[in-house]
Amino acid sequence: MSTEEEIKYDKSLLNKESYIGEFNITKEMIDSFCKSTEETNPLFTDEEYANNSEHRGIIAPPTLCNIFMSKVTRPDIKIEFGDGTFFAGQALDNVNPIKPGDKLTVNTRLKEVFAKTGRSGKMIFEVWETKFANQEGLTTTLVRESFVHRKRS
Amino acid sequence: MILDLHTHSTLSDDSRASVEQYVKWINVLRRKGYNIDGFVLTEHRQFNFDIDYTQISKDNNITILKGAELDTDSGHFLVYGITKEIAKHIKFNNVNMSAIHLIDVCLNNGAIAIPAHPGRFGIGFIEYVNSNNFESINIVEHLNGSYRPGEQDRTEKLISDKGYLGIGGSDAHMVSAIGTCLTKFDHPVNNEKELVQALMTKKFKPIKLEDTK
Amino acid sequence: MDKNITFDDIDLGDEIGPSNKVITTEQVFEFVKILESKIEPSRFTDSEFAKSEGLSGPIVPGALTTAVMAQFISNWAPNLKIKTLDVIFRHMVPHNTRLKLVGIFTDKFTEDGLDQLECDVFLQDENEVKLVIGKSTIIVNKK
Repeated sequence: MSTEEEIKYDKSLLNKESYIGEFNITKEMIDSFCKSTEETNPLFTDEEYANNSEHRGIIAPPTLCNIFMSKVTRPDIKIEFGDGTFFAGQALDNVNPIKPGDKLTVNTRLKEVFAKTGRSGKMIFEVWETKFANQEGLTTTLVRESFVHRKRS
Repeated sequence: MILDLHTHSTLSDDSRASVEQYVKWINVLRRKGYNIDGFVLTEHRQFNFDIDYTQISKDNNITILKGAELDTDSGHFLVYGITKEIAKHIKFNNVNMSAIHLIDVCLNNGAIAIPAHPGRFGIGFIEYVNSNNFESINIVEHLNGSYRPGEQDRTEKLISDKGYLGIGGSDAHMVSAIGTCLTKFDHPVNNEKELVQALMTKKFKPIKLEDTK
Repeated sequence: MDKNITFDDIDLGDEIGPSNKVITTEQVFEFVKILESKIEPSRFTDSEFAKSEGLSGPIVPGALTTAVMAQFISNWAPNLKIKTLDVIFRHMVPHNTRLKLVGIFTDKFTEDGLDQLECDVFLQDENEVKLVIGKSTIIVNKK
């Protein structure tokens, strides 16, 4: 398993879109998120300020979708390597604002699997692209995430 | 001639900087009084023969050259002077590539392979230097912009024990990191062939950005 | 929170911060509780669990780290809107340790009628080791 072509996993899942869930956004959820991250931007925390903004009300902070990412179950791509998986990185693209009352539908697809070496030895990365869309069908957020499989030291 | 010999653009999976942004940033550094002539793109596990940076290089008076950073069984190697002939003998994305084979292929084809961040824990050349016959290695990356505490000290010891020469590279993956570590050459370096020649003649030294003012 | 900024206020090389930060165990629990009615032992919440995974102790969830980095930018000026945030986790972020956030503007341009900035953002430990590196594209709202 030295090159990308030789990594063993379920290659039929590459670029195949899978539905992975729905999430309801509440004002309480946004409040809790702001509290735990010490967010004070009035667009997310101050109803009066937010009502006078372009969004005409509170919107969610730009990384709120992240709290759902750990709740979704992605298809198992059956990687035969390592004994530990860690979050390696993510890119969030905020397309449209998320508001209290929104119902978000989430779909994901496997974009890439590749091998590299680093301080912890050989690693296999899997990269997923996940799309959040609201009840009007508008994409709110695109999230590209990578996970690393490695052997525990 | 001052070049950053170790940089990654968005072609590398873990970089978030485009070549155009590096160029803009070097112009910012120049305005602040730093002296940088150019950089070498050393993308991870790949080499693209078709990409041509001549125009952006000319427009900004910044030398932009291409190399690669390859994973081997003895750590990562910076490779300069890659040709199509070399590409016939190595698979760039093979993370278990034999370092000895890579070094030989380079030597036989006018290129050079230099251990990258040799003091890095777990993956640095220092972990492998005594496990094989690396007598043809005489240059390592002395200054690397991505070192963790302790790794520079390990590099200094390796260089002192083995009598290696050293180059410098930022290992930039983000725009603002380019140029933090550099290599100063005694002679002009305008293309990859001249870069290999300059490294072979041993007339260079690693420097930090603050030394260029 | 600082005041609104304008596009012309920013030059390439200008910095945000540095800002010191500690992400506490309480904050991690608060974050995990947003969706969990009961906190289960995990690498984020339980020392023994984390050690069984080869970690030296519980770590901050990546999602919380990303949120803190976003908050660092959006709180700098209320009229900044994060269009994209792209982060790479280079090392684990432990609970209750002194961290430093730093941002540096690396590009500015106008696209689709929107004034935009690009910013490198780093979360460092007290030895200045970059635990998380990121890049953000930010829209500068006029108001």
